[in-house]
Amino acid sequence: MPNGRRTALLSSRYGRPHDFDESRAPLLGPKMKTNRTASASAPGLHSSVCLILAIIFATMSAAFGKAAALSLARFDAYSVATSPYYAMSLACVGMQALVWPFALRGYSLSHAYMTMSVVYLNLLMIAHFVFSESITWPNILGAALIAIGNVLIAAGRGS
Amino acid sequence: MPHYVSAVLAAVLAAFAHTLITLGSHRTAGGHWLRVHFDSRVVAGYALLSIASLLSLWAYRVLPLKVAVAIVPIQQVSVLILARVTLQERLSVTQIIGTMFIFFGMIIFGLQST
Repeated sequence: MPNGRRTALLSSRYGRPHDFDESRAPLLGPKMKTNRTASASAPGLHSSVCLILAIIFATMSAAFGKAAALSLARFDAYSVATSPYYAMSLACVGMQALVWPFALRGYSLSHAYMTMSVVYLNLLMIAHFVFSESITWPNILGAALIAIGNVLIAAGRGS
Repeated sequence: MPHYVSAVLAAVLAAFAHTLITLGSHRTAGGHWLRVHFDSRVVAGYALLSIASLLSLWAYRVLPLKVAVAIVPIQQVSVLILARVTLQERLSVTQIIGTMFIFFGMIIFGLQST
C-alpha cells in the first residue's frame, strides 16, 4: 500500500496527527514514521483505558509493597519470596508493563509520563485511609500542585 | 560519591528505557497486540528499566531518602528532553506550565521525608 494512502487510512482510524513532525524525527524509519504519525494523534479509548490501568497498577504495586514491608517479620530472601503481598506487588508491576506500551501508542511520552504522577495523589489517599499514616501540609500542597499540573496538561493537549 | 552517580545514572537510564518502549510501541502499531511485547526496543527498554531499578536499589541503601526528592525531577526532565530530541514531541505552553506545576508538586510532596 502506498505510504500516503496508508497514512490516510491510519489517520482516519486514529485521528488527526497534530503533535508530531515526522520529517524531523531522527530515529524513526519510513514505515515507523507512518505508524507514529497515526498513533501519536488523538488518543483512542484503548490508549486512555491502558493509561488509566497503568496508573492503577502502579498505585497497587506501591500499596502492596508497603503491605509486604509491614507484614514481614524478618527481611530475608525466604520471607520476601513467600510473601503474598510482595507477589501481588510484582504481579502489578508486570501488569503495568503489559499495558504501558499500549498507552504510549495513543499518548506522547511526555504527556503519558507526566500523567503517571497521579500515582502520588492515589498513594496519599491509600497511605491515609488504609495504612493510617498522617498527612502533612507539604503532602497536601504537593498533591494539589500535581493535580493542577495534570489538569493543565490534559487541557493543553487540545490547544 | 559512587552512590550519587548510581542514583543519577538510574534516573537517566529509566528515561532512555521509556523512550525505547515508546519507539517499540509505535513501531508495532497496527500489528497483533502481543507483538509489542516481543519488539526488540520494548524488550531492551524493560531490560534497561530493570538495570535502573537495581542501580537505584543499590544507591538508596546508602543515600538518604531526601536525595530522591532531587532525583525524581531529574528523571522527569530527562524523559521530556529525550522525548523532544528523539521523538520530536512538542508541548504546548499550557502543558509546559502544567509540567512545572508537577515538578514543584513532587518536590514539595517529598519535603517531609528530608
